[in-house]
Amino acid sequence: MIKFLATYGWYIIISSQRWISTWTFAPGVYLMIIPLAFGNSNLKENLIDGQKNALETSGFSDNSVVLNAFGISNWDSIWSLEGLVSGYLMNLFMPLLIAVCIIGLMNKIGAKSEEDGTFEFVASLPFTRTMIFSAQAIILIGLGMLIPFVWVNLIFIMTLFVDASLNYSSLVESVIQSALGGVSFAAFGFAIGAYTGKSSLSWAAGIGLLAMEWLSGMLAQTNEIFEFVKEWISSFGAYNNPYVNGLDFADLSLVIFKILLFLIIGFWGYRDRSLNL
Amino acid sequence: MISIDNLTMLYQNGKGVKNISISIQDGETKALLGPNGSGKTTTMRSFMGFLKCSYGILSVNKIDPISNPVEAKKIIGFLPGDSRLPDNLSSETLFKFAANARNVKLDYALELATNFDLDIKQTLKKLSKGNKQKTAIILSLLHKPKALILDEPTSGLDPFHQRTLFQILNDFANNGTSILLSSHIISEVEKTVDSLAVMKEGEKIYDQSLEGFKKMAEQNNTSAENQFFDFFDKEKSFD
Repeated sequence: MIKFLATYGWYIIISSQRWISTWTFAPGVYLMIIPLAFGNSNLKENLIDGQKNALETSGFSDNSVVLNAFGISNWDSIWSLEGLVSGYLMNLFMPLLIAVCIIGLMNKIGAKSEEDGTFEFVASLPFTRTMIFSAQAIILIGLGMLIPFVWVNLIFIMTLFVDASLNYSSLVESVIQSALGGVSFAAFGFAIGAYTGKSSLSWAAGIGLLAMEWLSGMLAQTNEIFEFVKEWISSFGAYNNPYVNGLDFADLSLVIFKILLFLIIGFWGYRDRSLNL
Repeated sequence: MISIDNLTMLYQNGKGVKNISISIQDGETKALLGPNGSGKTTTMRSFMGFLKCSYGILSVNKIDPISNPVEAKKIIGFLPGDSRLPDNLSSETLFKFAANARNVKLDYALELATNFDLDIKQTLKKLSKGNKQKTAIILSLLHKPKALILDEPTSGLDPFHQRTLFQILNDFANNGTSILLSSHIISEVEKTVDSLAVMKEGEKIYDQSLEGFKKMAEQNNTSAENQFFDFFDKEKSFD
């Protein structure tokens, strides 16, 4: 099994190397602008403080639905580097990026490769469906957790060169919870792709779940059902700012349980169906 | 030995293959002939377990490819009809992957690449259709399989490399490999096969030795090719 994982894992990585390398570095390099903005007083004044004043004047800061829409739990704190990274970036932006990155990757090696025919070659090799699904699930979780670590490390490295600081261990705790959230959406997309062999349904399911949970968080104060989803189901709701509060076992368990549940659903459909060739 | 007994596989639209029984002995090469949509690819994909069949007893050297896919695929070489491989990889990389996955050395793949005049360093997106087909053929042969399932193996190959392919297939057959290969036309395969089965609209309508088929053509005072076309023209006249 280990030899198989190494062989098939190597094939997955090299056949998707452009996608993986682009997503591993491009968002991280782009996000390096955040510490740069906070580390430069002129830039901070124009970009950060200017925006804060404009949004306060417009009444944005008083509207909880709008704040929730952006994943902002504490208006005052997000105008610091630590607040922005932990209370906005990790809360909304990071899971969204991870979901898109990983659903795209899983489709390349899963449902999309069935549709375009490249999977037929892999299927003709002496592998079982269980082996293939297991390897893909390991790639899903492994890269889903690893890639955001590269991003935050790039952000952290930038803080070493400018007048801005982040607590590394808190950052790691924060990114673990955030990445798990992104992986949960990707796992649902992957599961539906594996169940149906259709990449369009994979995208619809993964991003659809993300949108549904995001809307639930946004509208939680307006409706009991949305409040319930946010509290007990949503991966966004499970993010209770570990940068400040530390990792919470219940929050971690909820998201890990969701990931496992989605993978079981995907495997159930994948193990015995006709390939979508 | 490849054995397909009463294979039925129907798609949601009701099309597919019904009650297909085909047997290929060790060292035998059988052609599966028929026009587009007659069920050749469906039969082969069902045998490989890619498509879920509603009924059928399948085996390769007494191994069931559905319940024991790993052991079965170790001894099967499969060439898809429309071979699609990752465009960003070179033939060499794919050979290495397949050889690793099958736990065999790369030597035979390199020997075949030389026979086929294939530049293995090029990525597939830079290769012509014929060279991509050569890559796919080598991927199906590199572990020296005991059974070969080849869906339109000559597709895209020039006549010189078609000849190379058939020489290689003859060597495999002489070494006891059972070969099932599909084609649209009989003239392409008649120099190589021992027997042929003809499919039409998901059903097998003929299955005899090549000799028997040629005798039938002789009796009807027609060529093998026209005899093959007659299967379909005659049926049409009854429709």
